[in-house]
Amino acid sequence: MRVVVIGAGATGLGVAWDLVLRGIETTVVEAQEIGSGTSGRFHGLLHSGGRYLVTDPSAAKECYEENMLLREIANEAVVATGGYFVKKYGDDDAFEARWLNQAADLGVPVHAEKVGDLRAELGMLTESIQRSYWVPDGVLEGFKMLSMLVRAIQSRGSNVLEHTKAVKLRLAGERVNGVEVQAPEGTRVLDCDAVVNTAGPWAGLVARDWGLDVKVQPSYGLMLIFANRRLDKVVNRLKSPSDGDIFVPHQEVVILGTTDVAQPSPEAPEPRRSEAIRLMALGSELIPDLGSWRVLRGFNGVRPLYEPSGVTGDSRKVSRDFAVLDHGERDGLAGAFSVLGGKWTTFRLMGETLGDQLVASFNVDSPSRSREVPIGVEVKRPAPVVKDDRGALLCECEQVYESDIKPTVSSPMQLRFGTWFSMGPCQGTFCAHRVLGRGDEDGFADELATLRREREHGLTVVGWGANARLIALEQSISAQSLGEER
Amino acid sequence: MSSKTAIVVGRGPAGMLSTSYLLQRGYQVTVLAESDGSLGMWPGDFSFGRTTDAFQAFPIELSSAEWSQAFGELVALYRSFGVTLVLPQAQDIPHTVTAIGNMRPTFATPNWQYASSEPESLVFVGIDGLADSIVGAQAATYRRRSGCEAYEVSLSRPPGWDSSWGTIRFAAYLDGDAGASWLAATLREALRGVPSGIPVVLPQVIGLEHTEKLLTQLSEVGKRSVSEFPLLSPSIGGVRVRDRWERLLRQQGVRFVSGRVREVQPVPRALLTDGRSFEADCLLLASGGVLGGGMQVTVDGAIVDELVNREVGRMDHLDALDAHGHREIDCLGGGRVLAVGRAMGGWNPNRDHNGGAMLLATVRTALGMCEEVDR
Ligand SMILES: Cc1cc2nc3c(=O)[nH]c(=O)nc-3n(C[C@H](O)[C@H](O)[C@H](O)COP(=O)(O)OP(=O)(O)OC[C@H]3O[C@@H](n4cnc5c(N)ncnc54)[C@H](O)[C@@H]3O)c2cc1C
Repeated sequence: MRVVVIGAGATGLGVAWDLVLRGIETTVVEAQEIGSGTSGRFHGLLHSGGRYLVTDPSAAKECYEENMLLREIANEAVVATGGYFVKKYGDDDAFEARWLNQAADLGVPVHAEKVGDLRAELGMLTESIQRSYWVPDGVLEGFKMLSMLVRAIQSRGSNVLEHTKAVKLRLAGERVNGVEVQAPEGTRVLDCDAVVNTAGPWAGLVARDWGLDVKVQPSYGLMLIFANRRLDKVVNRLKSPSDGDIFVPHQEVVILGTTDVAQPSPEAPEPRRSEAIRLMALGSELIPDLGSWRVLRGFNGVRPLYEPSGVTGDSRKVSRDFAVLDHGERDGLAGAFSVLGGKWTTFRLMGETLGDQLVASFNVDSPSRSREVPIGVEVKRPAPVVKDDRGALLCECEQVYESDIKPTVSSPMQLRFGTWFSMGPCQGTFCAHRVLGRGDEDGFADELATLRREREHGLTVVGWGANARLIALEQSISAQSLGEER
Repeated sequence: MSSKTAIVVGRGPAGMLSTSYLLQRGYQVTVLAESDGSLGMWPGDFSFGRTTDAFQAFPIELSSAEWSQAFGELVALYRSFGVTLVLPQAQDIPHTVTAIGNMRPTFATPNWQYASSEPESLVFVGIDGLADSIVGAQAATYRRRSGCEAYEVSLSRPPGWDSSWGTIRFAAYLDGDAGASWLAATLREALRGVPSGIPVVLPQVIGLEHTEKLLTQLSEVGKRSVSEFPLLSPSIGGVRVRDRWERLLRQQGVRFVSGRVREVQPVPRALLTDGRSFEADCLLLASGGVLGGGMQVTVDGAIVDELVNREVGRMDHLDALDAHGHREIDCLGGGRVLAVGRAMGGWNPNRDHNGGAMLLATVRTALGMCEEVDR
């Protein structure tokens, strides 16, 4: 059996991994680059379920179970920081009571934490905390997990094709038997027995190309990145999920999120300054001194929320749970599936659920193994690099050396799999050309311009104080030292 | 001894230029600055715009005779601290090449830096172990932009190199005898097989003190013209200019005060955050705009000159940041507090490549105003 999966985000790679483990030959086609959709633009929270206990209990339970499981099978891409939910004086008592009840019912571990102890640990938090609770939140290293999945999939003989866009289905009667794809080399058809639409926020468009009506509600969220890891646990506000109520420590930074705004397009919109200012105000309800923290940049991601009834409106009310559609049963298009909604945290479970339905529809008995098999592939570790073999220091903020750059990959997105270049305080102003210039020579100028544009937009939303000066510096370096046209 | 005194706020190119010209006009000058200014990020060349008649559209109009006088004075000034500035021979605006292989306009260019009025084939030299060396990408971009041939050669890492070597370390190494002979030998070897006569451009790390001598030797070794293309930061060209210029100014009796200026009053008076205060007959505000740190952007997008407590514009667009600044050189009225360089608005050097003209025009005009009120 051969399957084509459309979209190399968390969902697509989770699906492919589950299928590959069942011995099914799988090809993932990705229109852009691995992780260039929502999966590369999320908050980084490995949900404990705490956030959804009241509003979305099934999503909460799934998140908790997957959280525990990923610590076992993909430990390399998970940081078990733990997290707190804090209730301020005046926040809804009834919500807190329901939240505690749900935690007990669903088996999500929650421990009361003395407010004094919490403030001793995280002194920057507001003084008006009434109660606080510890939960097993964690941090999910998205790019690392994606690259582990890609390696795991490839090591078992299946394929992930970037810059390859699925455009049409080829049918034999009512049954899918191929997917027409467009790639730089041209258009061709990949033969297959089944196709899975995991195009995230684009999933509605992919389904429309198939002549089907699937209601995906794209909803974007803004996140702000702060320099320095001033917190080393996740901090959530204990109230009904809302905007600007979570801080997540991520490597050397802290990310505050998010907002939730329904929009028609699946593309991430340019971040807006007014929204950044609002997020700062909301965040300072938890951290009063937030205004003095150095913001590195802001970025938007687009949630692929699935609304089965097709009623859109308040996107916070659309479930965070996921759905698998068998279009054979639903629409009479045999061999076509969609996996919709969900969270990064539940990517594996989404893969398993799809896999179960897919093999069942082919009457094959092949159980899922993604629960047991570790995702990290044993890689032969290169001999530890001695100091002077690292080559030149390219990115001073993130300490990226020449030897950290893999010569086979060239796109900025791919480079980020291995390094954090351009993510630090200078946002690539001094290092972007050094890193990209060591990759594809002909595409270099375009890649550099693209990266700069992206960084500038990210900076502009938070373009006040030191950031405004950095923007001025970046613009002047780019025009005057590098001679880029503006 | 002269009785005229001046304060210059800022130690970037506008501040240094103001200081030198004030000295020439007999002022006693005190320079107040928190840190070094942008000279270490600037290659040291003066741009004029994309065409020679660009000045028609400049916010400050000077006649072409005044421009030639201004550039003549600039060349003489650079010569006084030991840097030779080359002016274009013809009417054409010359270009230089950048670290990524683009051609950008230049005008008055230190003689170590590549400048040419016609695109031509070039040999790009990379040095292994130098972070900014990306000859492959640089040559590819140059070929596309110029339509000319670009040869690439790479030199191995110098002996004793380690990953901590940045541009300054490379330059210091090449300043020494061992470095100089290493470079001559490896370059001679590397140029074998590259057609003769084609000019060579090297990354701008060829010494701090002995650059001119080194480049002359290399031209003899390579039997062709050898010059540098500027890098980003620290930009060794700017560092050379800065160091030589400052040395001269100190010899000439300029007082450099480090400290952060908090407020400038029309008296004119400058108040520092540490409580010190300075007064003079005139004050040149060379605080560099948003880039230099003299202006701040508030959370709601206002661009404010904090020193004189005045809103000068709004940051509504990405590309407008640079063009904001004071509308009048005489920024407080009264003719004694004068905004120069990027503190002046209306110029957009990133777009127009006329930063050098902006410096000269604003500083000259400000000096005229100082002398006017002193009369
Ligand atoms: C602001 C924000 C914060 C979030 N925070 C968290 C969090 O903290 N924790 C968490 O668990 N989850 C979080 N999420 C949710 C999580 O990020 C998403 O659920 C998850 O990344 C979705 O992955 P995906 O693979 O479905 O979609 P995507 O990652 O968007 O992948 C879809 C891919 O399909 C490709 N594609 C589209 N059309 C085609 C085509 N025709 N042919 C080929 N390829 C195509 C796209 O290029 C894209 O790469 C957050 C989401 C947002 C928006």
